[in-house]
Amino acid sequence: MNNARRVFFALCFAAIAGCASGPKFSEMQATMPTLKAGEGRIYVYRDSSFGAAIVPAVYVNGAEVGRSLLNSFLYVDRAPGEYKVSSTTEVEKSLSLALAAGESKFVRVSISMGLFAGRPNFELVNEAGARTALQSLSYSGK
Amino acid sequence: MRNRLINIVTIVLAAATCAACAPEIVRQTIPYVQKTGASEFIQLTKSAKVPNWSGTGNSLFVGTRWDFVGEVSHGRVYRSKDSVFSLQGANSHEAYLVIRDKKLVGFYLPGEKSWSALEPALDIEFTVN
Repeated sequence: MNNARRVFFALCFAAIAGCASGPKFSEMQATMPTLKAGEGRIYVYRDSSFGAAIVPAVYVNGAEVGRSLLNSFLYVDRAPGEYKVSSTTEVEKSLSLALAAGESKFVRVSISMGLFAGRPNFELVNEAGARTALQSLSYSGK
Repeated sequence: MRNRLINIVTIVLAAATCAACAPEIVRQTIPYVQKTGASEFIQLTKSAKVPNWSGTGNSLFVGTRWDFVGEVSHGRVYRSKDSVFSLQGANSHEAYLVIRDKKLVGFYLPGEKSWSALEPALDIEFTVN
């Protein structure tokens, strides 16, 4: 096997390892717990294929809530307040947002080119666009 | 040939590094007073382009509606009624508009209870509902 093939198979393996295998949003939507009174929900999802081998941990106010796998989503319920959603590869990137009771916020993660490794980017997305994207994504939360 | 390849790789890496290094948004903590009482919103009657720290710019489209949600010392604070709005620098920040005398003077970042000035202020046209 020449070196080019080895690299190709290594990349394929890394990409597959970075894919989510949990239930799809469309399958678990009906059974997801409803929001408790006085809480809001933050969804974090990743639907872009660039940087498939990079699967950064996702933190909400410093607490790890799961990993951002390719084609995956996770969600956390939190009390109203100020939150920072973040990930670190070669640098830390974050999104700050305010969460109100009964509200859902949707955060899209993508990976852009970095110097030595891909860098995570966070984007606040409107609900309609996010719910469309979420349908085919698999759960990767804790 | 080898030198040319090295040059190309260097340029690509430098470009990637620069692209990923947008400046951090300048901001400072500010007291915010939440509005109480009847709901009120504005609707933009002309689109505006907000210079963005990442260099990409943010568009405020004609017809979009913004709820009056509170005040800071720099002006009245409006949150997007139909969608979400954020600023992109080195990091992302959910943002509300701060308007004074028909000018967009800056942004309130609710996730950090902070203020970020827009200089120069931007003329903004809207109707009040």
